[in-house]
Amino acid sequence: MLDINIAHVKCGQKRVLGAFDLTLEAGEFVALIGENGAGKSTLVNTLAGELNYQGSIRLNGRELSNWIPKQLAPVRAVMEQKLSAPFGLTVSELVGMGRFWSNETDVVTQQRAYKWLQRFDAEAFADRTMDTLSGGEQQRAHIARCLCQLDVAVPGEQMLLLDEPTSALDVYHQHSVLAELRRFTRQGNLVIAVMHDLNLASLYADNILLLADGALKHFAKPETVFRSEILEKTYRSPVYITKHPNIHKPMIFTEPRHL
Amino acid sequence: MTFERRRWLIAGAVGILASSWLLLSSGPVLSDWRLPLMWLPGFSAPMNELEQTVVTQLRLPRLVLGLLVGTVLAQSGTAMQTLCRNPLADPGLIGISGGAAVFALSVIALGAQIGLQGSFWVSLAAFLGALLTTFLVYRLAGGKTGVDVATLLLAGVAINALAGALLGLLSYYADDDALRLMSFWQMGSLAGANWDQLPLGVVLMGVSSIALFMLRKSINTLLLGERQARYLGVNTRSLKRQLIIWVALGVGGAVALTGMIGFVGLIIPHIARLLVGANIRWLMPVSMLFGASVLVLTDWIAKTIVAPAELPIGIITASVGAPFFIYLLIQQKRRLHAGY
Repeated sequence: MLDINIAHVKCGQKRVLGAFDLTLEAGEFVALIGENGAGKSTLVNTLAGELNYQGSIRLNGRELSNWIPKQLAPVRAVMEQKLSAPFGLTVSELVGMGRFWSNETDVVTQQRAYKWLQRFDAEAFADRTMDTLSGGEQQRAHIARCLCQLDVAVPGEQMLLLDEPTSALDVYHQHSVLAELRRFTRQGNLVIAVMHDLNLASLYADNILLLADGALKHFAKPETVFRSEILEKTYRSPVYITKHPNIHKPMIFTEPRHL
Repeated sequence: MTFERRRWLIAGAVGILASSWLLLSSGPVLSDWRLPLMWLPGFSAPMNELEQTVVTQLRLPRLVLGLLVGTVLAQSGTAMQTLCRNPLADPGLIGISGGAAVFALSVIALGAQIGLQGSFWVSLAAFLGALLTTFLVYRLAGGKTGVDVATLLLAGVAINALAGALLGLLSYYADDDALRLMSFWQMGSLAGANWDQLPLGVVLMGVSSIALFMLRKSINTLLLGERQARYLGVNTRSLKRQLIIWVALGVGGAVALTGMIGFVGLIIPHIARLLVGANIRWLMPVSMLFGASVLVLTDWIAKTIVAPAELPIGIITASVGAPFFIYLLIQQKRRLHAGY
């Protein structure tokens, strides 16, 4: 569904991403991991079409730069790391903005917005303004906006890029958001999410994409990537791996550091 | 929230009615609160000839001009502030007024020598100046990836500085009459409103206003930032280009007919934002209504406060607007930071 074949991505003179040759399939939940500055956000921005790349990135067979914004909107949504919270914009209005590409009426848009707000346990603050919300609430509102944008009659072949979608969420909402994202992938869609919580990535992701120094190091199932020698090298910390008692996914333990 | 916002929309509409009534029915020459009613057929005391002339030939064109200029200035301010994601951005800031001023005042100061005299040429020059500077600023700020907002503002600052220098130079070549006209024009005034000039203004400002209003849904997405607007499906390059052209047309038209009236494009959207929030769906119509009513009210003050003389309206907008703006900055510092 997404064919990445790039030589490099440059930001001015600096090479920020190295060569990439990767095909991501519809129905996959891909967790993008790596230490700070490894190029995770750069990769997300590249896939979102914001950076000039050398090579080709094809979404559903069509080169990224050949998509018209309004045609791309129902196929691809992006949640940035730094979220905007405009003064005086209500949560339901924000979520409704996801429908910009459609020609539906305001009433339909509002109904759709409420549907997604309910899914993210956010209908209670639907009429509050964004600037009055907590960080976690803002995050849920923006994820709801992204999924509202991709809400089409026949789902499938759609891509959702998220830069740290669960960083401000409590345990309950981490799971409800990730479950919702996984449901979205099961409809034949692709989710690429930057994640720092390796255990959550292990529980929800189909494949782990590990980046280091702007280069693709590993792309495989959590069981393959989450091995102590790989993670210790990536994060420069002692790592212990066990299995989750019920679902047999790798669980990662770290150690306190003493200075 | 919706109820509150609707209340401000109604308040704006009432403001327009009230200020229009005030401007039509009272002034330095003759005042009668029933004047606007006298048009109604069957009113017991129809207008006499003097009243007829004053109301239809002096006050009505002035009212129409005031409503248009107020609407367009506030609307352009709203659009520019959202585009720049900065509550301090203003059409004047990106150099449009400065460019228009240089062109118009050149005609005022030097027109007699080259045979281009009269308000039509002044208006035309102001409009061309606005378009030219906007185009210049746009080219300066534009790159391969589109307009860079920071450069846009800085280019505006540079253009304004250049305009200031040129205006100073022009004043050396102007005779006494032209100098008085120049200073009056630099402060702005609606006193020149007449039915002959009005069609030009109606077309320029009307087109700009309608175009900006039609774009409000796209402009709204810029609240989330340019990138996010693109992700939502907006062609931001084309949107920015359109915004700049329509703002130039509207502000150029306003400057051409009334001179430089400061602070309306800055303050009105500001106040409206504090009342109804940043959502353009509400902010733009409320700004338009408030801008129109405030400008008409200020114009009424300008022509009555020192009657039978007239004060340039820009003196009032600046002397009321600037302190109020400072007050707002102090009061709302925290909320402003949260908003942008």
